[in-house]
Amino acid sequence: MVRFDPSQHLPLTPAMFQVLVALADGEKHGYAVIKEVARRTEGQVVLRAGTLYTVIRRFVDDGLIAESAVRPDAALDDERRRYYRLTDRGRAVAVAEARRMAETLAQARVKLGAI
Amino acid sequence: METRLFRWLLRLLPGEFRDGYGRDAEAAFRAESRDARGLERVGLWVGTAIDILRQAPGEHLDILGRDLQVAWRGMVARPAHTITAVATLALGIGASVAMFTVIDGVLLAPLDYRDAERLIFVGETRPDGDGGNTGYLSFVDLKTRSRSVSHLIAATQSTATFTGDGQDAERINAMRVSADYFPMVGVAPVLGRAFTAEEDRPGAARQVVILSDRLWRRRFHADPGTIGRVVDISGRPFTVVGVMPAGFDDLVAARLYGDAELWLPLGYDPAASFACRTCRHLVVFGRLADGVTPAAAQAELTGVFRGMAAEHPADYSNPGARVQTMSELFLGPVRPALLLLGGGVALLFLVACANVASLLLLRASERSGEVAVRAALGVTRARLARQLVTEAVLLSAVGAAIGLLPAWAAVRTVALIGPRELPRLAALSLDVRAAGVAVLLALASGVVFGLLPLRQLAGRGSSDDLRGAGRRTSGSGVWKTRAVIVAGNVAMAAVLLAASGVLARSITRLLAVEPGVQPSQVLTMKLWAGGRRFDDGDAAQQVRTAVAFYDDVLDRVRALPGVRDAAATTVLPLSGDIDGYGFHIAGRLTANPEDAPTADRFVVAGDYFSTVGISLLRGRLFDTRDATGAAAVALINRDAADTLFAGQDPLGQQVMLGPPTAAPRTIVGIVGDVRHRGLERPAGPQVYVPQAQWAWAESLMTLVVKTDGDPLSLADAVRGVVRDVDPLQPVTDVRRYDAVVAATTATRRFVASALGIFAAAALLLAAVGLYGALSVTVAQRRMEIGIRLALGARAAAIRNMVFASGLRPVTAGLVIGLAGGLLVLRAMTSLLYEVRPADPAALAGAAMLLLVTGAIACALPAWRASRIDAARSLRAD
Repeated sequence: MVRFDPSQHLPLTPAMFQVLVALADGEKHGYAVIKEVARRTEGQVVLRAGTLYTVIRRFVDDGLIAESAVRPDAALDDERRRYYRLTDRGRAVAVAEARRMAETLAQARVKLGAI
Repeated sequence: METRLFRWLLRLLPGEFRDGYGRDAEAAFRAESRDARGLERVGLWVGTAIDILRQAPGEHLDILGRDLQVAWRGMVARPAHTITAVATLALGIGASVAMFTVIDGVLLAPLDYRDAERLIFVGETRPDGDGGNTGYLSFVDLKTRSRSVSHLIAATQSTATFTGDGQDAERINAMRVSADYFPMVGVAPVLGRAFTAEEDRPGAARQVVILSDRLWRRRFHADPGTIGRVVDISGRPFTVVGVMPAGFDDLVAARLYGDAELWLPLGYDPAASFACRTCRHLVVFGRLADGVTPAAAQAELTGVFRGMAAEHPADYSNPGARVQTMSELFLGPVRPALLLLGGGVALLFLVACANVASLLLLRASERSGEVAVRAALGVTRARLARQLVTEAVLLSAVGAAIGLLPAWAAVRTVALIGPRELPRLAALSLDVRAAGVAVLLALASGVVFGLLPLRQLAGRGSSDDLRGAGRRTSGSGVWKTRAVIVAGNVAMAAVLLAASGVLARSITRLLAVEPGVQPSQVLTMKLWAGGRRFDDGDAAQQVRTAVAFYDDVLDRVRALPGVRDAAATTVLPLSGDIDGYGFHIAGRLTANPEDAPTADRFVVAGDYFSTVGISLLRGRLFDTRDATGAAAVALINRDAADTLFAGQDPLGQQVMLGPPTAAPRTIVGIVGDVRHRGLERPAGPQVYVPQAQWAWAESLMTLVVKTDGDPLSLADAVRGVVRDVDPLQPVTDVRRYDAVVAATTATRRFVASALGIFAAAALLLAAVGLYGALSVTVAQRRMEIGIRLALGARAAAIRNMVFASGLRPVTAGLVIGLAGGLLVLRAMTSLLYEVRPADPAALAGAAMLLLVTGAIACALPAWRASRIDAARSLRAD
């Protein structure tokens, strides 16, 4: 079997990266991802439904995220919502992207001085 | 409301996306919208709309990319299927693109003139034929009296010999044109100016010329200082006043006289003998005035001609005008041939399409299991359609791309060796428009092919299909669809075979026509006698100079090793040049000289009749007795003897050629008919006169040289002889005589060959299609056949059953195709010679060919069916 190489999925767009990070601490439905990203980036990254779901569609196709069978209590659940979770591959890609950005930042620091 | 708007926006995204994530995205948006307030809500709406608009193209492209990948993998995985389909499409699309390029370049592309559709040819009609040419005085009257045509011009052929500039003497095709010529066509010189009205008058203060771009570059090295220069043309000084733009295609010159490279003002003196009303040698063109139709112009100009006839009754006989648009004049004669070929290639394309459709249907039936699985997994019909269309379009696109290569080669070949009768052929090339046609054909055929199997596949997903039940006991339903395609293919191939068969029969008959000359091993070339020394003295002196020149050349050519005989004629039979003269019989003059018959006149020198193989029927040929000053003589052909002398013996009778006042000459012999105006046309009256006895010096003769071996191998030696006699007299149009004669049937042969190729390709495709369809049907029916065999059916009966089922659509298609072929043939009667459209031999031949091919295509599947092992096939199923 061919070994999975996360670098083949890099670089990610900011929206893609934020979606992976948003799912890192557990499964979420689409609106929860939008809210989580907005909260964490203090409104700097605004995900709209079109972008979010095209990213989700690609990640599902590539096996980076998967639909989750775990659902909240029926009282809190909206049956039309689907929940997504990060797969091991998705986590590996998110880590690889974070490393790539860290390296980029380190190189920029060397060239530009204190940032 | 908001949800509905959002759903509407989502429609911009692919259906597959909506099916997977539409409801989820809608739920997320609804939650966002619920939480937003006031302006925030407006921002959410605008932002979401823009976001979906931005994402939609990428999503579509992404799905297309994946569909293409799947399609490509499918193509690679089935090389035999792919190669067959791609090769078939390449043939169909390639042939269509090539033919489109030819039809577009020759027929459809506008002429290179301003408002070309308003340019007209004005022909003077006469009772004995369509005439066409006009005398100068008639032209002057037309110009002054016509209100419906502006810029009426007259033109005639001329030649010019460039000498005196230190370079080799060069004979150049030229046109003498009236001053309005360039304003008429709407193309101005790129350097200098057009002619002025003063320069178009007799005795103009100075003689002027306009050069073509090619001549300017070749002879004057593209020097802008050429304007105003005085050059020596045929021994006289001429001032260059203009240079035409590169690519200026003088169609008038090209079609009527060969390419012109130089233009001179017409400058006729109305009192000159050659300016008379009956001296019909000028072509007249004009530009329709605003709002005037060609029909209205024709009516008005006919009235003008009738007015002239009333004033000069001896010069006209019931005249009229025939107005044709320039494109009708130049392109009209070749239109039927090209449209026929266009129709032929369209049929070939349809046969190719039908074959590919059949292949894809077959592939679809093989894929029913796969499709059922996908349908069970929730793949929608739209998604399936998209995948199938992508696969088919990819197949077509590859076919089109590959087809462009043979198309390019075919167009180059046609441009190089196509019949010269097709105008604008040399400029043909595959261009963006042709590529556009290829793309359109690929897209259109791809969409149709893709959607065709959809009906067959729709509704798959039954448990049978999921079990992979492509194997059914009866394939009769699928065979019916295939049989219809086979019948259609055979019908189209039959139309093509019938048409090409009848055309081939017509060509065979035409080529078997005895032209009346023997053109093999004869070298021909035009030889001019121009310059001061030929103009010295009176007419008799000029005749003597010209005769001496040609005699000297002929004597020296005869002395060349490998030359059997040599002669010269003013007009080479079947060369396309026509030189008609009024034929007046002494004692039987018509009241109006214009009512006298016309005969084709040939002024000849040397042993013309033996050189070109015209036989003497009665009397004698010309000999040394017929010198200048001796009793004037003439020879006539059999047709003139039979039709013009009303049962009397023509020998010894006297005739006058041209006007009835011309010097009488005695008929001393009758020679065989020559099909001078075309192999398909009767010879008509012809009259021959010795060069030494004609009224004026003929300055253009065609040498005919009978050789022992290849005529062209002697061309240089003959040129050398001319150079030795007079280096200022170049030769042009060096050709083998058999090539000249062959050129008269070139268009017919071209059409017949092209149609024959289309027919052969269609026949092959139809046979391959039939073979494939029947083979697959046999494979799919092997269980049924196995049961029949197990129940005691004889192998021969099975073989006959399959064979008959294959031949049924062939017979049906044949009947339909031959009926269609008859309709097509009726429309192409103008291309046929002595063959009826319903030629029984050709139609029977086409039918036999199709039946035999069909039988061969059916034989192998039928044999295979009879060899099926009953036990094995039953076990397998």
